[in-house]
Amino acid sequence: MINSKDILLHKEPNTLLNEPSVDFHLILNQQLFNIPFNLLLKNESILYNTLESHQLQIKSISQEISKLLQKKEKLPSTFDKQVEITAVDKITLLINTVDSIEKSIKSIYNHDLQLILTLKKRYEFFNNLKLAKETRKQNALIDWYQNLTNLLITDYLIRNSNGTPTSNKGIKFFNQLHNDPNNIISTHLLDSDILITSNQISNSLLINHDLSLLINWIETNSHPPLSKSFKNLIFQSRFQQFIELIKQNDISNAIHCYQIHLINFIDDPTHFNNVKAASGLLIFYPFLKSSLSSSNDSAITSTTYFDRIFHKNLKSKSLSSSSSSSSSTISNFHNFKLNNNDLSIYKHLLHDNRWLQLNDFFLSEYYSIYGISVNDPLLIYLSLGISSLKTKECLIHGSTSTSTTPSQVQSYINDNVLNNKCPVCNNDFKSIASQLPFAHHDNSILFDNPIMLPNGNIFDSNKLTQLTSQLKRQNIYHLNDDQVLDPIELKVFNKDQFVTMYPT
Amino acid sequence: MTELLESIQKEIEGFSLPDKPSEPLIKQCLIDTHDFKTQLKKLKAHLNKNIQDYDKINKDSSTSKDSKDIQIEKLLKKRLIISDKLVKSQKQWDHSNKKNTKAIHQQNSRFKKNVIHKLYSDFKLDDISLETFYNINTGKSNKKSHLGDSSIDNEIKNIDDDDYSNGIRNGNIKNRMDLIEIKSHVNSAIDFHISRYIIENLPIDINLNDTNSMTNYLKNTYNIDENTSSQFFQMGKLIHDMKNTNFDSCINWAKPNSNLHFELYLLKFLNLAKDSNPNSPTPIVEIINFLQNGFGQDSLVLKFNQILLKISPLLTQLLLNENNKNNADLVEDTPVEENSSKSTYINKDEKLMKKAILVTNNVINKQLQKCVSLFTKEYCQRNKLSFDSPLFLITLSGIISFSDFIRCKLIKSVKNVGWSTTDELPFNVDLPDMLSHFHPIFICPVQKEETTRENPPYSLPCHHVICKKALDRLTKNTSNTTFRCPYCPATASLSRVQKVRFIML
Repeated sequence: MINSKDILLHKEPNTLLNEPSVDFHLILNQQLFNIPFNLLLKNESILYNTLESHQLQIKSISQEISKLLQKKEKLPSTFDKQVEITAVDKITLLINTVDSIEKSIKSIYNHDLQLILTLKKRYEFFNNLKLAKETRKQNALIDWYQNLTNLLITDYLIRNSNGTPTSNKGIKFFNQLHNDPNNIISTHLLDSDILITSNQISNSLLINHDLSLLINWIETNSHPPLSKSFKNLIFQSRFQQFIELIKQNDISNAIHCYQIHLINFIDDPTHFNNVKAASGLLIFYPFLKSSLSSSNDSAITSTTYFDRIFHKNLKSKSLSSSSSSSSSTISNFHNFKLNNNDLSIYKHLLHDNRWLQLNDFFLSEYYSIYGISVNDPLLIYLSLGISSLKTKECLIHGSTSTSTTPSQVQSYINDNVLNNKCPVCNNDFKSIASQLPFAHHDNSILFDNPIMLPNGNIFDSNKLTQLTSQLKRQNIYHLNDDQVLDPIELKVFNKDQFVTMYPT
Repeated sequence: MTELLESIQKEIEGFSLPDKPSEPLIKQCLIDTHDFKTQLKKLKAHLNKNIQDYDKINKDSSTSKDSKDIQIEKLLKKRLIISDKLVKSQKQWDHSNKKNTKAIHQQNSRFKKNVIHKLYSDFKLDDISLETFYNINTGKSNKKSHLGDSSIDNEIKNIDDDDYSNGIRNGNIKNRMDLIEIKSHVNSAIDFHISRYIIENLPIDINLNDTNSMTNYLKNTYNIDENTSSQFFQMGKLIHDMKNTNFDSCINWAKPNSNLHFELYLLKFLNLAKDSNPNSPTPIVEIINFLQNGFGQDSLVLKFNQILLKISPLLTQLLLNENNKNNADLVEDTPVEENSSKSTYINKDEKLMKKAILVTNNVINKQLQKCVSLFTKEYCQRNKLSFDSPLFLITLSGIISFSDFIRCKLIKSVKNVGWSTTDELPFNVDLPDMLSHFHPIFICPVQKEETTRENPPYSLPCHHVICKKALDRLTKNTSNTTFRCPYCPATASLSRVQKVRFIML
């Protein structure tokens, strides 16, 4: 059975680098089209709302004026110019309204214009790939991939930036490469605003433990119907807000937060345990704090304290929520009191790791709204790339130098012959590579004209001869015409000792 | 495959007005609203006119009552016309709004259906995540880790299970630590990448003779450590010199007799030829001096053919040009042709001889690019740096291999088999030559597996090569240690096999 995926994954024949098809690249970079399109959709609804909200008003004023003007005057003598004066007032109001509508449309228009230009530029970017593939210009293709890599780097740097967004080195780098001091090129190919926003919220969570940006974002973006994951994000952020208030000993605001926000989740089976834990925390925090310092999990049974504050809270809460849910809540809370005396639950609630987790919830929600991948694309490609490049010879230290002060010939050979350009063996990638699987090969990848020297080393005979003549020309090593130097063992062999090999 | 690309092109065009390709659909809305406003203003003017006219009629005492009545009658009629027009244009605006928003909505729906859905229907980048591959490596393939699993349901389940108490999170913290470590390596690779490629495009106010200036710039702008950036300072300076027609620094840097040396020499010659003033004979003398002295005797002999091919015609033309200033037939065609065989060149040469020379900027730029590229290669080679940044090469391999990973994932989901735990990818990735010749790879034709230090290749007396495991299997049941080569009729014995090593030069 053939489906669209099979066609898509089918490798095109006769490609320059065995690279995927243009359409495959489009899918890999799906967000480049999705993000501007999402913004176009947003504009559509702004336009719709703008027109919709004024349409009736304009219609009714028009009708009023029309009615006024149509009023039958029996005789010319009863003509009243007040009709015109009133109509002029009303029509002025109408003009002002239409003028403000026109201004709103104009601003949507400008945004649309820019979004469509962005889409066109992105189309052109991929069309350039198509052209490079069709004209079979390897340089153009490599340049295209360089650009893509630089975009990925920029994306990565924005996502992982700890600094202010204006000083982002990824954007600077990309624009500087294109000699574009006005930073225009990058905006056409990169939705930096979207990434910068998430990066700022993320940093405020992780570095400053500050929820305000996140809560602000949630409030402006929670359009019903809310997805399950969005609800979870709301809960988690409010829960964290609650925990932080407790940590600051701001009990009254913590209770307020509980009553306004957390209580909305009391009937939600996925959050019930946490809401329960939140009320427990209210009680246990003072004990927890001392137990954290004494590091001794002594059992806490303080029913009176518990009941006193707990019932007080519950009463005020039940005023605002339905009585049916609160009665079930009461019994559940009593169960909680009986079952969970272990403070370790609360220790986890107080742990800073919760910020990491909250950040993950936020990012996955944020990225899914825009159709962006949650994982850094650059890291995904790097891990796949390393694995597909990693051979069994990689990461094995290949130096043969035995002496501490290498001879001239040894250093020449180290620099020019054995200088390994394998990107996986590069210092920066070595340790990442050690964690990733090896590539699988069906066929040998060797060299032309393999010959074996008596010591068992197999070389490309042309390359070996070339090396020998280089060494001779540069007076690094003296060899006769029929001699070659084995660069690994630094031994001299005669050419008639070459054994032609048939490795495959 | 470019079907998707084509529908993207088509649907992006759909966002613009059919008769005005540079204007988005919403432009019509703007036009119609503006027209409506203009119409309202006109009607307002008419109303004001009515008031004025009425006042005029009233003031004018000379006219009779009857004629006044007739005039007022007219005003009343005008009222009705204004009223009609107002209702009509309001309705029209209403109607066109509906039409315009519908057009926008339809186009958005089409884009969603024909582009967005297609872009997202098959797979996402996140389908292949980092952790999936750590799992292969560590063999923990069953337990999906937090970061790699974007399914929210699962996360909610985790919360439900109250995982804080049972410490599932510890594993994730570990992954996160790994991630921090990974990122520090990646950042350092990015610094290298930026240094490598930005050095040619430094802002003009950076003094390239002053390494401090470069260090500070790269430090302040990109936060790149001097140890990384300084590797490219000389490269940046020499490229900068070349671009500013100072070729000597690079010529001195280049190895005599090398290809780079010759191309730089040619570049300098082209520049001299371009700048030469046909009215004064000195430049030619200068050029000849340069040709004789700027290039070593050895090189002149070594590069004889290339000189004949590239320099002689130009020089001849320069000389001819001296005597033949009136000849206005300038040739755009570049005399610096690659790959042109000698015989065709002679024909061309004769033709060119009759024409005056024109060394265009285009020719010089091409030669400059060639020199920059050759020099960069040479520089990286000499300084043990890779010409293409490792980050780029790995990313490129990642993109090329992506479809193989997706295909494997599909097969896996169909057959419901786990990743191989042998620390090796379960499929072959075909990488292009530029990405596959870093290490020799020998696949034993008997065992069909890659040889390693533990399982090295052995050469049989017939010079066929098999791996140690295969050799062990072939000799396991033979008491006299002789066996038959699996590929030819020759007989081999253990005493005559030799351990070999493939070395890529």
